[in-house]
Amino acid sequence: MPADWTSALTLSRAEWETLTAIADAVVPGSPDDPGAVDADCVLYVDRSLAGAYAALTPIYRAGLHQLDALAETREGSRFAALALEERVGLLSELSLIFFGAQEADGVSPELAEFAEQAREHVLEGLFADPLYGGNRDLIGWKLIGFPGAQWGYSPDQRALGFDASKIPPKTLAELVAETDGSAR
Amino acid sequence: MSRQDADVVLVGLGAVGGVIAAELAAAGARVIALEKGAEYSPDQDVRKFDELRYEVRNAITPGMQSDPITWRPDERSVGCPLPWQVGPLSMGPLFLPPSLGVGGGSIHWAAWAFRFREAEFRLATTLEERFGKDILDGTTAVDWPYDYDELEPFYERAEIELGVSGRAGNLNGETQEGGNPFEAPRRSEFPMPPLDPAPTDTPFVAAVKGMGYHPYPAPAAINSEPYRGRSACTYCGFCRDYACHVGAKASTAVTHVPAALATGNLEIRSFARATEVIHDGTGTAQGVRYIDLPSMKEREVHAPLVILSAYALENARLLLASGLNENGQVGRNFITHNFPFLVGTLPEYTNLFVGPAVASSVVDDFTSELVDPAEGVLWGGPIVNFAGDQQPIEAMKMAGAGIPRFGPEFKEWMRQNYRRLFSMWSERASLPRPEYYVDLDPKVRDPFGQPALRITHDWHDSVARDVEFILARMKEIGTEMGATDMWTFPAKPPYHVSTHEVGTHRMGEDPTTSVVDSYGRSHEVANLYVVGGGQMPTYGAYNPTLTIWAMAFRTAEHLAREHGARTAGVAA
Repeated sequence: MPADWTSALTLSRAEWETLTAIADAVVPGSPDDPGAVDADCVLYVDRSLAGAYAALTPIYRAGLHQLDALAETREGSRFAALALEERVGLLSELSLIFFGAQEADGVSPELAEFAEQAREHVLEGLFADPLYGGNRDLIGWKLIGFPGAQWGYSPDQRALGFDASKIPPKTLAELVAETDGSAR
Repeated sequence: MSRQDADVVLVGLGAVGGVIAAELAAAGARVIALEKGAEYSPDQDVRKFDELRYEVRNAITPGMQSDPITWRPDERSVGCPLPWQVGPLSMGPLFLPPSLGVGGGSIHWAAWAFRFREAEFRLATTLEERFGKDILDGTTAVDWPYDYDELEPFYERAEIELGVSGRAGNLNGETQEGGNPFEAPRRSEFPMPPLDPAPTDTPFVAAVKGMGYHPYPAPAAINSEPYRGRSACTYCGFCRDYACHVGAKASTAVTHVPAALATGNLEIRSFARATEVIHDGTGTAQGVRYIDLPSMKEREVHAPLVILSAYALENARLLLASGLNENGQVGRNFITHNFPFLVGTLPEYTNLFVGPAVASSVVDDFTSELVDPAEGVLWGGPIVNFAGDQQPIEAMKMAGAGIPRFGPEFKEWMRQNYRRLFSMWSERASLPRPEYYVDLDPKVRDPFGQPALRITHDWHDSVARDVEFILARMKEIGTEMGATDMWTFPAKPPYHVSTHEVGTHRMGEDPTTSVVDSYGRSHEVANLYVVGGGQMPTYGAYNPTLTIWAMAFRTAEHLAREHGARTAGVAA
């Protein structure tokens, strides 16, 4: 099971729920096809905000609040209460505004930028090594067929058309454990 | 001289500093090297399989909190800290200065090891011949103070000592099968055969051959076989922006620095931030002042020879911060690379995360002066199959504008296409112009109170036009390869730092229009050398590092000869 709000180091329960709704809209999951929430991307972002991205915590608080306010204005309920399709639609609109492909229509540039930032961080959580708290059970790597930390690839594995999902994905910790700490 | 701590003090033990330190130490000179970054150990290299740490969070490249750089497009604008340094959307280490630490930029680099073309040493003359005298109006382009032939022996030495894999296309004027038919003449074959080509190289080579172009294996400073006590490449795919876990990628950290240390004549002071060259204002340097980060104390090293080898940007910043700019030329003639880049998808699995990006082929049919003048292209660029090192976080950032960014469709796009990506890139240097330069930012300082460097630069229309031409050729190649989708990066990209900055302390024989002589010796301070890509008066269309190394070997031999002459004089 992915972590819930009781694991939070930075976010409030309400903030955790809104961020969960964002992560689910970036890469949705289902019981037999896990997504960003299943991969603990919310935990990854929460931990990053407690550490490497501490400077961004105020931006997250403001952004999550503004996103909820926008959802209230548009749909009459907070963002986390919207259906997946509505959340995808709203975030896609913010993305178009961020890239200048659509008029802001009352949306603040800060909110449009925050949505892109949160998306980027969710994807970091999906594809970074599990050491950082996301990519639980290597859900991200298995989704796209990335084998992770491999010492190297054989000539067969380097042929055009090779199905790399046949290579068991490996984490950094697993790879380092196979060495004596020094490779050369 | 009252105080002397060593024969030489050198700032920046990177690609350039490493080879110069080794040459001087071998000649018997006692060298103290000040290095802003760390001295890495192999146990850290094994932990490099971490995209978030190295590619996203820029663990070994200069942090913009500690080493700020500001940028403005023109003099009417106020310089702001580079948008990618503090903004929420990161752009990766390619758009920061090169990696810090012993080995410098030769740690993070992708190891493309091209020689410049003969015409690139006389770029100004070549442009005039092709387009008439007026073509240089508004630029400060000049020919180099020497030609390709002068540098050829040093290219050869760099290829042998650092270890470059490739296949010669022109041995002493004779065209060689399988190499680059357009390359400048070489005296010797590469010391190692080419790397095994990456998966996408099969369709790339088939396509460009069918179009009548002339593919050749990219010269790569990565061991294709065990070489000089270092391992062969394992094709791990964590190469560009990462240290090498087996020492197969050339870096002075695994070649020349260990050799220099073995002489007993090199002392490395890591985490040492140089703040200024100590000089008396009458043309003599006494040494270098620096902040020792572990103790946070200001210290000095005094030596009769001072060498700055800290990258084109930091070299210029140090000169300016030291008040060494008598003729106003320091920081002028800033040049950088624009990277035309195409990404797309192919029907079959291409596995762009397998192997180094450089394990691939190149076509030079449109490079530099080879492009047909009738096309109106000022200076062309190589078309390079960018064939590896593509981990998932960066790959998803490269998804094109038409690709869904959220929801089930985005998920399906990633599932279907991460393993089907292919890409091509090129390089187009800007021409030096008076309006593009670096100086000290009047306001922004680093946390140690030192002035930040300010870049004033924008992409000239002529650069964007040439980039569009190359992108169009790439699209034709991608179509031939059977691409199912393709997209390109803007011809006027948002970055103005590319890890390929040069020109900021131009070399030349005329002390009124250049900063250093052809060896890097300062016109203003006789015992100060400022070396590296900053010396280049104009810029080629290839990655600069091998040329920078060749220039460094030329300077190193010159300095070792001078040191020998001095010590012989003392002995006599």
